[in-house]
Amino acid sequence: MSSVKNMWGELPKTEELPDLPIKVLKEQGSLLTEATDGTLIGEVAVLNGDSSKFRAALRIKAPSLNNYIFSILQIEYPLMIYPVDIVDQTVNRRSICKNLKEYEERLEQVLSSDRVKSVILALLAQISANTSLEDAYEAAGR
Amino acid sequence: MPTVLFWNLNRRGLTEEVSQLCRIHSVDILVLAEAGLSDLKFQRQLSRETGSAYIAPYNELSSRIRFFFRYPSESIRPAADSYGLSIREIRPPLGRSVLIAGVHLSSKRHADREEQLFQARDAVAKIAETEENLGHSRTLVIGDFNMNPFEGGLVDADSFHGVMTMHIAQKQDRNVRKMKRKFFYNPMWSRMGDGSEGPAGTYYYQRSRNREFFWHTFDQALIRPALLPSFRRENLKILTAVGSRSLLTEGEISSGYSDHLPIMIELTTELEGL
Repeated sequence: MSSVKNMWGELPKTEELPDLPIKVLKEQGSLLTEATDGTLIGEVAVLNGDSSKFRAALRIKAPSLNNYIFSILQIEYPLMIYPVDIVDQTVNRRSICKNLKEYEERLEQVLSSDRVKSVILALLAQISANTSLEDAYEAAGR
Repeated sequence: MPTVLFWNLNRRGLTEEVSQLCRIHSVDILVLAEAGLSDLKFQRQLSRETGSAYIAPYNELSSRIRFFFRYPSESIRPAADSYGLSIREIRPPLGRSVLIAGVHLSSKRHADREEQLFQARDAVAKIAETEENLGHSRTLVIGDFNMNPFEGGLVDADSFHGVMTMHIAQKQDRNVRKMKRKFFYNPMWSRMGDGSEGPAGTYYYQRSRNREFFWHTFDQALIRPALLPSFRRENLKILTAVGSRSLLTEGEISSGYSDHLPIMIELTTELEGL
């Protein structure tokens, strides 16, 4: 049996594939969900992009506030992954990230910004107040 | 019968003027852009002028819009916030719930046509998602779009899809390239130029460009077909005076107030059939 010559050279292995920008977003979304025990959900929505780009959005969802949604940011990237276009939807600032390092740095700036922190705090406080009120109503009903 | 007033204050404060309008027109929902002063300052003046308590819940979540409600706090729920868009669900003591989306999209000074279209499409997608989430589309969108009723962001099917007649809007939606696109009725089409009721627009701007409209109708109220039974054309007004004080000078917007005129719409949500 004759062996077939590999003309492809070395092909990338699955474990060597680069992380897509949306995967990084999903990881950050999950972190918020875990950190708040599901009170707030870090949700990633895939959006309709133009034919040459992928689009996704990271939002905070509050299930106990009627599924209230606060939009944090949107990303847009081509099949070749970079550059990633980030729109910080808290202040409407657009930035272009040429590689993973720049992307993660920008993401961190937005997610740890005072604006996002204050929104998370306000939502948690509101939900906590509603829960206390509901508990009180329930106790009074008994 | 919620009466909704929107005014872009151009950071001029104008607490007295706003409060007087709320008293004169018995406003239930006040929506402000570029308010300039704290919620508390508005609330104090509103209370002093009208004798009613206006609450301002959830404004911390909003970046460009402020809401003041003459309703009990349990009647208001936040639905969504994004840059230039804030949506609240109003469950009035009487009648069925409605969605009020306040918008303040980027101005032409800070955003080119593509950016304005992007913001409009994004806002509409969020409004549609909220409607789906809450199971109804009794939605009023009100605010400063920084685009005229005839521009792409207001007209395009994948954007606000605002049409100029109730008759078309009542068809609910249309298919565009196999996608169902819901209509908004945009009554501001009938409020442009000096043949219309009221002033020629809501914003006056003049430069030495070749193409100059002078009057713009950036401030608009768009209504979903499901809310049309509660709307009458005569219940939409571009206001040109605060009591005896005119907001116009020699046919243009007076520089003593904001560079925008306020708009007001009255809905009758208690009507049967909604």
